[in-house]
Amino acid sequence: MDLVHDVLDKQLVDRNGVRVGRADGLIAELREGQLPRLVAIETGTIVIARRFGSRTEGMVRALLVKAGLSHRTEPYRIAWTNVRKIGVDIQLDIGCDDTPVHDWQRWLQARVIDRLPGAR
Amino acid sequence: MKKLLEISLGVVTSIGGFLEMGEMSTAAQAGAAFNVQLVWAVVLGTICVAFLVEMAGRFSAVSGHTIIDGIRDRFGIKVLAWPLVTTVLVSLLVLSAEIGGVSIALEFATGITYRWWAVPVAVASWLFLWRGTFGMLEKGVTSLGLITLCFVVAAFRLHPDWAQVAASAIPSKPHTQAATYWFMAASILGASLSPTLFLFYSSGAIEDRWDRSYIGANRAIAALGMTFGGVISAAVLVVAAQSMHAHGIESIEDFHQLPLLLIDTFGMWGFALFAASLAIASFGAAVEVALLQGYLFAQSFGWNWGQDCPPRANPGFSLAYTLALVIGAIPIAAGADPLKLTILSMALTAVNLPLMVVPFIVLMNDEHYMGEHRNGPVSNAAVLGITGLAFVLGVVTLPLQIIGGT
Amino acid sequence: MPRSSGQRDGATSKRSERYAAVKTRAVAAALVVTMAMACTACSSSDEEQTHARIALSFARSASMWLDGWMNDGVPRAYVKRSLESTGEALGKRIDKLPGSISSSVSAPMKDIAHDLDTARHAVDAGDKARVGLVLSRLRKSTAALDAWKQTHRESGS
Repeated sequence: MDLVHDVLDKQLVDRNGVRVGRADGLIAELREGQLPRLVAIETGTIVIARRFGSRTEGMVRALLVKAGLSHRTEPYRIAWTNVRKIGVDIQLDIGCDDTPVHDWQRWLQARVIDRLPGAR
Repeated sequence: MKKLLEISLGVVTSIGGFLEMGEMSTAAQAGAAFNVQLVWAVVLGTICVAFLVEMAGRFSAVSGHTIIDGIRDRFGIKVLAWPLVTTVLVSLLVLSAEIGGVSIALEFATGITYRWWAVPVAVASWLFLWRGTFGMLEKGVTSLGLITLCFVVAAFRLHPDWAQVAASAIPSKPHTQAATYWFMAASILGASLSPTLFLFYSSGAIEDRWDRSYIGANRAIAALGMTFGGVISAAVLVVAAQSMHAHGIESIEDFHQLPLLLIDTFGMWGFALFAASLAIASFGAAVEVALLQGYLFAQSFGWNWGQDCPPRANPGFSLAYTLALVIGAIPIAAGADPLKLTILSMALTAVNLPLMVVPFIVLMNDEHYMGEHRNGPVSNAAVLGITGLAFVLGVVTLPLQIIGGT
Repeated sequence: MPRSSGQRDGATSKRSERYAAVKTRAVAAALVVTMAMACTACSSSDEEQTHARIALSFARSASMWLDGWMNDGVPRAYVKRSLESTGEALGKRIDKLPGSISSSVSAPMKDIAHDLDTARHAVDAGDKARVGLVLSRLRKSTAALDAWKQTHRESGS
């Protein structure tokens, strides 16, 4: 499996087929004399920022802290053992509610969307 | 039998949804200024968009990805970031232009200045997305859009020199006002080749769960729908040539001049037909472009998306199109000239094209995604050639227009 | 020892950096060419042609609006608003006319602007007779501008 080609930037879906973000980053373990072993998938704004360089990461981190979202400066890691199948997308053996990936969307849901008529 | 019905529906919605403020304004201005000479720009734009739409459908049916999804998948976020940012920005301008289109149509209908209509139109579009479903959008509004066929009727009633029209399908050099001529060509191409269309089409294919069995139907819909749609655009240009240019009106500077296109042929009914056509066509386009903003963000970042689900299932997606409508209403409410805004947004679309089209063409030739349904050399050449032309024309003529103060 | 992703980004970023550099250079070249073209295109006779063309288009549009209102039932509110909008636009254009402009162009332009204003008030009052007078005056102004255009054939700039 080509890690970069087959895993990075792929769509993630939970056990019910709900989209829960994309594989923004990968954590691999380097081993002496062997191929690297994939340990976890990372998602989150900060992971994307890091892909653009350390300066961008720094700026985004500062912005998040200023916006009172310092809990989002840590990436969310999904252990490789939770990956069920890789095809058009990566199917995970977790529910979307178990992940903080949708935290802000749920906040939006509760605070704004559910208050508007016709949201259901 | 079911496929035949789907094809017919697809063709009808493609025709009804083809014309909007951008196509109307650019074709009308071109017909007034240069008679039928710029028909070739409509022809090239139509050919290219037919290829692009067919590719969009084929890509989604075979790979199971939308185009944005596929670009992130294949190239990564760092490459997607640039077309994403520029397309979001240009699409916001286009959204403003479409809101402007509905607003001026409502001014024609009611006499109340267009500026007051910007916010109500944005709210109406939002309600449509919030409460409606993809099916309602596709079938309802775009079927009503068939009213734009009145331009084809008008074109025939005006008895143009059809030989001259046919001859103008081949590109030619202008006799006067060269800078304006090429700028209008760029705007016409930008209006036909709006990324909205093929990005939207591929999202629709995924939402309708197309698979390989739809490849033939897709080809039919793209070819027939885009060709008939292009005929309507060409008709607007021909009508402008006969109603305006032939009467010595060689420039359309003020949007109030637009209804004259049909008043000439149909009198008072022409006025009503024009207002209705513009309102319906631009409203459909406004809703589509707002939805596109939702797709751009949701598909780039992996959020849930889909028009057929209730809004609470897709909060990020709903937020994206809501914000887009809020921002899109601002320029028109603030008094920006809808005609100038439209022409500018069409030229910018032409300039932005390669950023989206080039990665898409790479995907269409990638065996991993397309298998044996990869592009042939003709599709590649047609799309890259016409897109390149639009880009070069746009980049060279747009600064000239801005400097010239038009 | 875990290490985060970046392999593809290395190769892709080199490619996309090169792509970005080439594009920047191409756009810069296009802009330089454009500036050069713009400077050669700014001739005053072209400006006069543009003023004449726009004034003619407004005058003839006004004739169509007024004919439409008088004979075909085109709504009064629309015709009024159209005359007002084009009158304003023409007025702004006249205010910005350079001193060097030929009076064969500026005089008819001012007449047309005046007539658009008169027509708007006539339509508002429902005065068809006055509209008829405005129509004949507009015909004179457009004839004058047409004659000027004939003697100053446009360059193929």
